[in-house]
Amino acid sequence: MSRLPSLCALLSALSLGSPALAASRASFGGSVTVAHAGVAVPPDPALADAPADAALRALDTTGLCRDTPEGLTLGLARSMTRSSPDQLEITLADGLQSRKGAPLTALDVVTAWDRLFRGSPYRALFAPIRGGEAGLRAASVGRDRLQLPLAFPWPDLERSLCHPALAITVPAGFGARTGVGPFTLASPGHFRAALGFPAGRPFLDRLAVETTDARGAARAFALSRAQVELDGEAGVEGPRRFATYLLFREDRTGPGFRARVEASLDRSDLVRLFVRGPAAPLSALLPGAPAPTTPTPLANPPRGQSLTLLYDGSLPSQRPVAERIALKLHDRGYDVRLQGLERAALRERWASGDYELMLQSILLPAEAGPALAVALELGGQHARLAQELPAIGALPDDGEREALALSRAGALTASSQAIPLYVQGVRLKKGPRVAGGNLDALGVPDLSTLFLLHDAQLAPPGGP
Amino acid sequence: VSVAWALTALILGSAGDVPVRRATTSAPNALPRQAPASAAQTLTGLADLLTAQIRAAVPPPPLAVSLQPAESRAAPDAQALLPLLLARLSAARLAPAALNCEHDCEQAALTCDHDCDQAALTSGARTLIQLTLREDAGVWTVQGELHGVWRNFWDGARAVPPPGPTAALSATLPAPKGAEPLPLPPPETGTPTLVATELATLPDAVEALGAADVDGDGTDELLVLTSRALLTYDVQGQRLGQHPLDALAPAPIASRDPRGMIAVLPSPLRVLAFSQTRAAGEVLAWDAGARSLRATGTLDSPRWGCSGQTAQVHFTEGENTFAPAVLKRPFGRISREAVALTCRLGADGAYVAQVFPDGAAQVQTPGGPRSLAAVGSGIAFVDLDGEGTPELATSSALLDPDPDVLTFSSAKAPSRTIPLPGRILELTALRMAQGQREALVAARALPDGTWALTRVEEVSR
Repeated sequence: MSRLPSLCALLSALSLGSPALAASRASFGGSVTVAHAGVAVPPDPALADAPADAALRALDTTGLCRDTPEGLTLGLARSMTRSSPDQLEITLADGLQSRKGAPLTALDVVTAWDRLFRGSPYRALFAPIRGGEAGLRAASVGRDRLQLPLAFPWPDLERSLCHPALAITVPAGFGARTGVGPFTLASPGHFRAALGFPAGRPFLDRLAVETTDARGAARAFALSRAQVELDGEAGVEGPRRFATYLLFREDRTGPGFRARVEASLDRSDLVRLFVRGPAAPLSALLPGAPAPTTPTPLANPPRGQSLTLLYDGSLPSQRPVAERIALKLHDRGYDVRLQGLERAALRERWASGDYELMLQSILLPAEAGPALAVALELGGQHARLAQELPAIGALPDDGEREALALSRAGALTASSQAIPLYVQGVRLKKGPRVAGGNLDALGVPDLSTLFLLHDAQLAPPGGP
Repeated sequence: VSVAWALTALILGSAGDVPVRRATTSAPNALPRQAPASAAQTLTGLADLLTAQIRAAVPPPPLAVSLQPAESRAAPDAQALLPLLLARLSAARLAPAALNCEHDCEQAALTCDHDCDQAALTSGARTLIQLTLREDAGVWTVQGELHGVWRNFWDGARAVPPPGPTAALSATLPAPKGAEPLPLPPPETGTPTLVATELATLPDAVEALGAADVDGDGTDELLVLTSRALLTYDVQGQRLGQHPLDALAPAPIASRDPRGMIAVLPSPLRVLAFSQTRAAGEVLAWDAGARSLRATGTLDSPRWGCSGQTAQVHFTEGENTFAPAVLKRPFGRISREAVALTCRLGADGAYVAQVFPDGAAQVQTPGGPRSLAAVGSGIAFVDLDGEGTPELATSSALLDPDPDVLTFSSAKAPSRTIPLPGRILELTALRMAQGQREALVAARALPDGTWALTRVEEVSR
C-alpha cells in the first residue's frame, strides 16, 4: 500500500531520462566556458556541497541519480526498485569505468558511502538502513547490485540517495579519488564529454571552468569569454537548500547561550547585509518549518567568557557573518575569537566535537524527511533519528510526510545544538546562445544538460 | 592615449547622423526587362544582383544577413532567397550568417534598429545587412542597407556612426510567370479550415510516429514508438495494442534525447521499428487473432521508408541525429547529420525532406529541390485536401515556441498555419478512410513532461 505511489512516481521518473526538449531539438556539440566566482572545488563530493561546487563536482563525479523537480533521473544506476516494501534494490549501469579505467562495482559504491560515516553529517541519509553502517557495508550483492534493507518504511530513500554528497568516488592511487561523470577532466579546468556516460553523453563536446572572483566572473561573462556564470549578480534561481547553522557546545558555552544568541541576532539583517547571493533567513531547522518561540535570555550574562568561533574560510559569506555574530555576542558578554578553517578541517572538528562555536553549511535534501535527518545529525541529535524518522516514513503520502517532518523540525529546533541562520541558493546566468542547465530539486544546476542554440532557435527580438 | 580616443569619439559624435551613402562602385541593381522567368530563376537573379552590390561595398566579414518579407505572402520566397544569398556571400569569403531580427521600424518599437545591431554584434558579426523582399504586381524588389556594427569600447553609450562602409542595397526583377499576388483565401463559409483533435496523452517521450493500415480495415492506424513500447492507436485515438520492447537489450551507448524510426513494408504488411534506446529493432506483423502486433524478427539498424520502399540509416551514436549516408533512390543522400527525415512517393514522383540541427531543411519534390532556412524537427508531407499533391507540414524552429505553430506550405496554395500548445517534435500523415484525404498527427511535448497526440485535418464548413 505504502510503496505503490512511490513506485508509480519512480516508474514515471525513469522515463524522464532526457530533459523535455523543444519544437526544434537540442543539438549536440560545441563548447561553453563557465565562470565561477569562488575557490577551487574540493575533490571530495561530501565536501563540495555548496550548490555551485556541487554543480561543478558533478561534471566528472556523479551519483546514482539526480533529484529533479519532475522526478528522479538515473545516473550511474540502471534501476532502483523496491523488491519488497522494506528493501531497495539498485542495479548499476553497465560498463562503468572510472577515469583510470578501473571498473566501478557495487562494492565501490558501498565503500564510497561508508566514508561518510567518518565525519560527515550526510551519514544521516543512511539512518533508515537496517543495521546502520554494518547494514550498508553488507549491501553489495555481486558486481553491480546493491540491496539496501530498511529498518522502517522510508519512501524518500531513492531520492535522498541522489544527494550530491553521495556521489561515487573510487581510489585513484596516492590517496586521490576519481569518479564517473558526464564529462572527463582533460586538463585542469577543461572537461571533455564522456561519450559512454550511462544517461547519455552531454550535449556539449567541451566545457571549461574559469574559477575566479565575482568581479572576474562578471567581466568574463560581459566580454563573452564565458557563456555561463555561476553565483553571479543576476540569473536563474532555484530552491534555496544550502543552510548555514551556528553550532554550539552547551557544555562549553554555559547555559542560556541559545537564548542570548536568539535575542541578539536579527537574521533578516544578517541576510541583507552580510550574505552573498540569493539567500533567506532561516529561523527553524528546516526552511518552511514553523519558527519556535524565542526564549527569554537569562538575567545574569557572563562577563568576558572566552569562546572560539570556527568558520569555513572557503565560503565568502561566512567570514562577515562570523564577524557580525562575534560583535553581537560581545554585547552579550562573550569574548569571541574567530578562526577560519578549510572545509575538511571544519568537518573533522565537527565530527570530533572539538569546538565551542562553529558555522556549518550543509546542502539540505529536497524532501523534508531526509533534510530533517541531516539537520538533526548536524545539531548533535543523532539519538533522535531513531525516534523521529519511523513516524515520518510510515506516512505513504508525500505531502503528509512533508508536513509532519516540517512540524517536527519546528518543534526540535529549540533542543538542537544548531542555531539556524540562513539558507542560500545559486544563480545561473546563461548567455543568449546557451540553453539547458536546469536547476534540480536541491537548487544545483545540471551543467551536463547545457546546449548551444542555433540562429533559427533563437526567438526574434521583440517577438512574443 | 585614452584622451585622444575620447576626443575622437567626441568629434565623431558631434558630427551627428551620417546619411546612408550609396556604394561608390556602381553595381547594377536591375536587369533589363525580359520575359518573366520561373520563381527560382528570379530569386537566383536577385541573389546575384545583391551579391554584386555587397561585394562592391567591401564590407568587413563576418556578415549578419537579415531578410524579411514585406508582406506575409512573400515569406516563402524570402525563406528561399536567404540561403541563395548566403551561399553566394559565402563563396565570396564574406562569412555570412542568417540573422532573424525584425527591422521594419514602422511596425516594431523605435529601438528596433539598435536591437538588430545588438543581435548582429552578439552573433559575432562585423557588418549587418538588412533586406526586405517586396512582391508587387509584376515586379519583385529587395531593398535594404548595409552597415558596420562594430563599436569602439571608448564610445560608451554615445550614439556614434559605426565605422566601416555603409551602402544602400536595392535589386529589382520582373516577377516570375504565375507569381502574381495570390489572393488571400476569403474568410466566408465554404472554405476549408484546419481543425485539431486531441487523440491521447502519453507519459513517455514519443521517439517516432508512423502510420499503416495494420489490420487491413481500409483506415490507417497510428504507430507510436516510445523507449518502452510500440503503441497502436486507431484514428480516433483509441489504443488498440501495446507491444513492449523489453525483449530487446538496451543500447550500449545511451542518448539524452533518444530517437526512433518506424517504416512499413507492404504485402504482407510488416512494421519495422527501431528505438535508439535499444541495441536492435524489431520486425512486427499484425496478429489478427490477438489483435496486436507481434515480433517476427529483429532489425540490426533503423529503416527509413515510405510507400513500401525503405533504406537503411544509422543514428549518430549518443546523439539525436541520423548519420550522413549515401542511400538508394529516391532517398538520395543525407549530406550531413540530419535531425529529421521524411519522404513520400506520390504519383508525380518522390517527395523527400531532411532537417538539419541548425534549422535548415533540404526538400526534394518533383518540382525541383528547395532549401528552407528555419524549420523545426517536426516535418511531414501530408495531402490534407486529397487532390494528389502533398503539402509540407513543418513545426516552428524556435527552441521554446509559445505556442508552437504548424505550417502547411505547398507550391499551389498560400501557406496555412495552426497553433498548437506544447512543442511539436514528431509528425506523420494518416489516411483517415478510403480515398486520398489525409490527416496529420503531431506528437507534442508538454511542459509537465507528458506528451500529447493531436490530429489535424481539413474540414469544409
